[in-house]
Amino acid sequence: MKFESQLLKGIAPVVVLEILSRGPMYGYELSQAIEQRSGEILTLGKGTLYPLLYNLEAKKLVKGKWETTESGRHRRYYSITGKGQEGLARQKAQLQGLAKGLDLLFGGALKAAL
Amino acid sequence: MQEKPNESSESGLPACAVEFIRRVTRKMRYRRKVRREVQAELTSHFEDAVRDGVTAEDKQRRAQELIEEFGDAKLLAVLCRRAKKRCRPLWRKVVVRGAQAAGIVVLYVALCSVRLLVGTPSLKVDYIAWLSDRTRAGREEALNAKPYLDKAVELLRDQERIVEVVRMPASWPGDMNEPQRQILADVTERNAEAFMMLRDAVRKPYYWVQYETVVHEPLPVGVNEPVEPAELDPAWAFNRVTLPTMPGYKRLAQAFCASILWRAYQGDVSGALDDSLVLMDFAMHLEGRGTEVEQLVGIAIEAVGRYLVPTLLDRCEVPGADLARIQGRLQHLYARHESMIDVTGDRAVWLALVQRMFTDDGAGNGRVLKEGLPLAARDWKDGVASLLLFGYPDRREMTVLIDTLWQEYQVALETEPSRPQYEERRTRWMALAQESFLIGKAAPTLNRMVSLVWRAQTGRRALLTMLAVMRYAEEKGVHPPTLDALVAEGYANELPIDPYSGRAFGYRRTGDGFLLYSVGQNLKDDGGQQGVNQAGRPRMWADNGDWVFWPVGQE
Repeated sequence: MKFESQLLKGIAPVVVLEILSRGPMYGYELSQAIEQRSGEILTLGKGTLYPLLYNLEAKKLVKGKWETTESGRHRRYYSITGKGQEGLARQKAQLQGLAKGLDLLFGGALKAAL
Repeated sequence: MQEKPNESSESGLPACAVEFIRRVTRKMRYRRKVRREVQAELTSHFEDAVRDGVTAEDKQRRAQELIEEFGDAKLLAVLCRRAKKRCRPLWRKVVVRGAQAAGIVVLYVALCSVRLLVGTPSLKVDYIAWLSDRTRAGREEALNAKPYLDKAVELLRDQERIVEVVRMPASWPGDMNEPQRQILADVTERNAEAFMMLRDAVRKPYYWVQYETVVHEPLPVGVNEPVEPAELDPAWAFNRVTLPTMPGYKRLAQAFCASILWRAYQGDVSGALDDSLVLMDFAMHLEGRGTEVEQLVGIAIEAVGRYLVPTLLDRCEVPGADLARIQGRLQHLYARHESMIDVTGDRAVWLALVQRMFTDDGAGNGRVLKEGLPLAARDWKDGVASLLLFGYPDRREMTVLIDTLWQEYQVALETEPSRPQYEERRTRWMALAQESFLIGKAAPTLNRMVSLVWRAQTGRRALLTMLAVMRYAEEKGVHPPTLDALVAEGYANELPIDPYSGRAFGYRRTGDGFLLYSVGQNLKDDGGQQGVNQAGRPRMWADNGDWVFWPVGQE
C-alpha cells in the first residue's frame, strides 16, 4: 500500500531522520532504505528527497559530508546531528500520541488493522 | 577522506540522465559551487540507479524511470535552490540581505533623485531688471546721485591714509598727535575734489542702480571684496546681485568723516556741521530702497554722521543759528527718508532664486531641482525625508513661503520695540524662516537688522531732541526743566518718542548740562545709567542699562 503524498509529506522528515539515526547514508541509499525498511509502503518521491535533505541540513538536523569511496566514487553522506536526535525523539513521541489518538478514534480498528 | 567534487562525473550515464541533471542545475540559478554539488549528488544518484542495468537500453530505461520519479526538472531546481539558500550561514544571510536592502535603498534614492536632476528652470521674470526699474521708478537720469557718487569714489586719493585714519585710536584731532593730525589734513586736502563731487551728489534727490545678476565663485577666506562676475550660467548654484561700489562708498564716507573732523578742528564748525548733514544725506540716499546690502551700508554711514554732530556740539562752540539750521535740515531729511529698510528688493532676489531652482509647469508651479535643495529643505534630515517621500515644497509653496516671510519681516521692522508684539513678531518671523535652510541661515542677519533699524531710529530722534534742548539752552541761558517745555516754547514741533519706551526720552538737568537717554534694549528705565559690555565698560547699544546720547563719551 502506497501512502498519499500529502499524508507522507508531514512525516517525511521524521522518516528520514529515523533512517539516518541508524547510520550515515547517501541519497540513493537513503531512498532505497526507506522503501525497504517500510516494507515498500513508504516511498519518498525522488524530487522531494534532495530538497528535504537540504532543508534538514539548513535546520542543522542532519549534516552532509562529501566522501570518496574506495572505488573512487564521490558521494555525499548524510548523518543525523545531536539536534536531529532530539527532534526525532520529540516527533516520535508526538507520532505515538497521534497513533494512540487515532486508535481510540477508530475504536481499536486502527491497531487491529496494523 | 573528505573531498568535494570539482566537476561532475557524468560519463557512463545515458544521455537523457545527463540532460536532466544539466537542466536541473542550469535552472537552479544559484552559486556555481552549490550547483556543482547538486549536480554531483544527482549524478551519483543516477549512477547508482543504472548501475545494475546490463545493456545500454536497460540503463536508458532505468534512467528514464528515475527521471519520471524526480518529476519536473524546473520544480526540482527551484526546491533545491530554496533549500540550499536556507543552508547559508547566518553571516552570509546577513550580508546578502543587507546588500539587497542597500541595493533597494540605493535604487529608490536614485529613482527619487531623478526628479531633482531632470528638468530645467524657465527664466520668465527678470527680477533683477524689475528691481532696477522699481528703484528708478521711471525718473530722469539727471536726478540720479549714483554717477556723482561713483565719480567721487574715483576721485578718492591716498586710500591707504584713509585706512590709517580709521585705525587711529582717537577720533577728535585735538586728542591726536602731530603726525596723525597731518594725515587728517592730507586726506582733507588731497580729496577736496572728491568731497565736492559728494556734495554735488547729495543735491540729486534720488539714487538708483542698474543691478546685475552674476555668478560668484566662492570667495577665498578673508576676502570680502566683490570678485569679477563670471559668465551667466543657468546651472549655477547660487547667485546674488553685484554691488561692486559699496566698498568704495564706505571708503568715501570714512575720508569725508576725517575731513569733517579736521574742518571743525580748524575752526570751521558751521561747515563741518553742514558736511555732517551731507554725509547723512548720502547715507539716506542708500536707505529705504534697493538691496539689503546697500541699505545696510547706508545705515552704517548715517550712524557715522549721527556720531559726528554730537561730537562737534561737544567739542566746539556752536552758534544758536547753526543749531536751528541743523535741526531744521535734519527734520527735513528725516521726513524725506523716513523709511530705512525696504525688503522688496531682498524678496525679489529670493524669488529670482526660486525661479532658477525650480522647474516651471507653465501654470505657476513646478518642482525643485538639485540646486534648490538648500532652499526647499529645512535641514539635512528634512532634505533626506523629503527626497524619499517626494515631500519637497513645490514652486508655488516656496513662493508663498517667501512672500509670507517678507511680509512678516516688514511687519517686524515696523513694530516699535516698546510694543508688546515686538518680540512675538520677531520670534514668529525667525521660526518661519527656519522652514528653509538657506533663508534660515540668512535669518539671524536679517533679524539683527530689525534691531539696527530701531537703534538708528532712536539715534535720529535723540539727535533732534538734543538739538532742541541745546537751542533752548542757547536762547534762554538755561536747560529746559522737562522735554515738554521744548514743544511748549516752540523748539520742537512735537516731542520725539523713544521707540524703546513709547514715551519721551529720559531727560534731566545736571549742573551746567543735561542728560538725555533711551531706556534701551532692556525696555527699562535705569535712570540714565549707561549699559556696559562684558568687561564692565560703558558701551553704547548694550543689552543692559540705558543708551545715553548726551553727554557724549559715555562709552
